[in-house]
Amino acid sequence: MFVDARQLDDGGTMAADVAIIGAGAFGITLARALRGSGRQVVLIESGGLEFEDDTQALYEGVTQGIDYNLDTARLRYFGGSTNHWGGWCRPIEAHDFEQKDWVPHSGWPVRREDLDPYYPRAHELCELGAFDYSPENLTRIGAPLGLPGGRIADGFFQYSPPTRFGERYRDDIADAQDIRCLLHANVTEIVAAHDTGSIERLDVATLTGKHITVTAKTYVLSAGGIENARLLLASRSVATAGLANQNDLVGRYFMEHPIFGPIASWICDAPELIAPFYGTYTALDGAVARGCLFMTPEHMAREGRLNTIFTFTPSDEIRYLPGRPAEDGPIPLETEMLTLLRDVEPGAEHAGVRVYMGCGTEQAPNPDSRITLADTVDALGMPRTHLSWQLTEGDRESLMANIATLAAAMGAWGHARLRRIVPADFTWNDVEMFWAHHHMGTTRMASDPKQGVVDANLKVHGIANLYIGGSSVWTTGCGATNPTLSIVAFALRLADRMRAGEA
Amino acid sequence: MAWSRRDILIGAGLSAALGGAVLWRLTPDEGRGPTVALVDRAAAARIGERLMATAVPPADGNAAKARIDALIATLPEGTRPAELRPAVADWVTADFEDGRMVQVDGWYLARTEADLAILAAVEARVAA
Ligand SMILES: Cc1cc2nc3c(=O)[nH]c(=O)nc-3n(C[C@H](O)[C@H](O)[C@H](O)COP(=O)(O)OP(=O)(O)OC[C@H]3O[C@@H](n4cnc5c(N)ncnc54)[C@H](O)[C@@H]3O)c2cc1C
Repeated sequence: MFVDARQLDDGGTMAADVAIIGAGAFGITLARALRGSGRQVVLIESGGLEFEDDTQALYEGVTQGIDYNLDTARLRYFGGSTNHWGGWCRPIEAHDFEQKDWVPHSGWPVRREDLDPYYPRAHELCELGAFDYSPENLTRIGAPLGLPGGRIADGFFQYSPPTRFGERYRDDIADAQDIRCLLHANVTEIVAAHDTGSIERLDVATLTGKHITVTAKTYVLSAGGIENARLLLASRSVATAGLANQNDLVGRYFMEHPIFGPIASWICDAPELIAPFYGTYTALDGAVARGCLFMTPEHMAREGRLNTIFTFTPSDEIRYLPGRPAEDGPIPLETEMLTLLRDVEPGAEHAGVRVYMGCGTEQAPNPDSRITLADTVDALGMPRTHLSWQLTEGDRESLMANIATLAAAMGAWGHARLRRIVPADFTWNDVEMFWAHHHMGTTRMASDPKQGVVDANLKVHGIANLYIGGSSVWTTGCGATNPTLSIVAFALRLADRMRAGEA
Repeated sequence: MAWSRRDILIGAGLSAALGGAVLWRLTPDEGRGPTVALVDRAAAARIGERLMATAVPPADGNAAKARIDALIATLPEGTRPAELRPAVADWVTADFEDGRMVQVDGWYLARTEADLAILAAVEARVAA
């Protein structure tokens, strides 16, 4: 059932077994999965069922470091950022959970096997095909490039339609007898008991000036990867440094996935070897797939590198016209480079193709990349977000080395030469790049409370009845793997634990 | 025509240092130098010019020639010109596998093909 908080009595109270803050991918999945569990759920959502300017403005903030638009990087209404997500899905790789000597602060307290039971159901919720990302599955729609040397692997993404969680699951929430979804309800503070060992209540405010209190046995914070940290830091009436921040970890380790498009182009004298699924969306057993390349775990371990995922555009044909620049663009030396490929003969009309590559790349966990509270406040009087996103020289070096590794693998393959488009000496502050809108790390997961905010089961260290969901719990950047499928899998896992009485 | 290793080495050895930007001459007979392995010597010469102007790390003509000479010295006696191209292809593959690459205008080249392009550029300068 939906309840508009603006219609409630000012100063009123609402009680439930489970209070979930935020109706995005995580919150909606958890609430849905708790239907019929015997627990009364209140799902508290800042926005309404549609976009509203004044609610969205609550996401505005201040940035320093790498330029970032806090407002357009997420959406604040029922369904959250799934109202404009792109639908790219892949599970987190098994090796991403491991502690890597060359990546400081790496190592999750969970393993891929802990999520595997939940990925198939998460796939259904994201309206994807079979949960099968094996190379064998890929070969059913074409031959992978199979670049030599064991440094580059072929893989693929599946595409969600993309599922708009707020639309797709609206009726489920509306019809559930045991879910009340409070709309236009902004949690302004998570109020802890005096000993900070448990949560007592949530302070909720509407933009029309109403104040409501919500109490529950169990609280789940799932307001998105930036807002989770902001709300904890702003919850300081009891813990003055912010809730769950006794080890100064909340808001730190902010990670994103820098996106470059294009970062490189390559020429190839054997276009028939580039399966169509690399360049276009391709049907795979009712799913939609697209190929990509990434670094193998063995290579990353040997060279001490982070991961980069390369994606392709469809190829353009290049005609070989000796002595003249390529017809459709003055790409330096492109025509000449074709002649270095052994199968190209002078005078060939259809000499080869050019493929542009984009990429998403990993950043290492970095305590100085962080969210704090700004000096200014929003319309509800809450301190705004201050984001200082920091990428390091190490992150840059890893990306450049991965481009060179790809160039070497393509050269050894014998049918391609690669050209880097991004300048060799770029700096993160001046390079033309985008970001993936994946907000990770600000309430990171670790078994040791000194290293992380939540434990392996998403429970906040030192607080008996508070859980956090969403990519803020990511310990590492996981290559450039998009997080939402795994966010949904974690929500299903928490729901199962709650149903089993373990949470 | 069959090449003897001696022919190739002498062909290359005929080159004389010219000083200035053009450091050596391969052979008066273009068909006998190692650049015959290139599909299109004119195109390779344009790459070579760019390499000499801008490559990272900087292109060193003498070093390029010495490396190509050393590779050719590994060919068996009686190697024919037609057999040079597959040999170069193998050297190029090995360069990429071992990460011996040179960058020019953002392109990643195997060191051997870059060296041959430099030799082609020098030949073209001499011929001009
Ligand atoms: C343009 C874009 C493209 C993307 N593409 C992809 C993609 O292709 N693949 C992928 O995996 N991911 C993608 N993402 C990321 C994806 O949208 C997020 O990972 C996902 O939505 C996160 O789910 P969540 O539930 O943690 O947070 P959200 O979906 O952000 O939901 C948080 C909810 O909390 C509410 N809220 C916030 N503060 C409060 C408060 N104080 N009180 C009450 N409610 C509050 C918000 O209104 C919102 O509804 C994309 C994101 C963007 C912006």
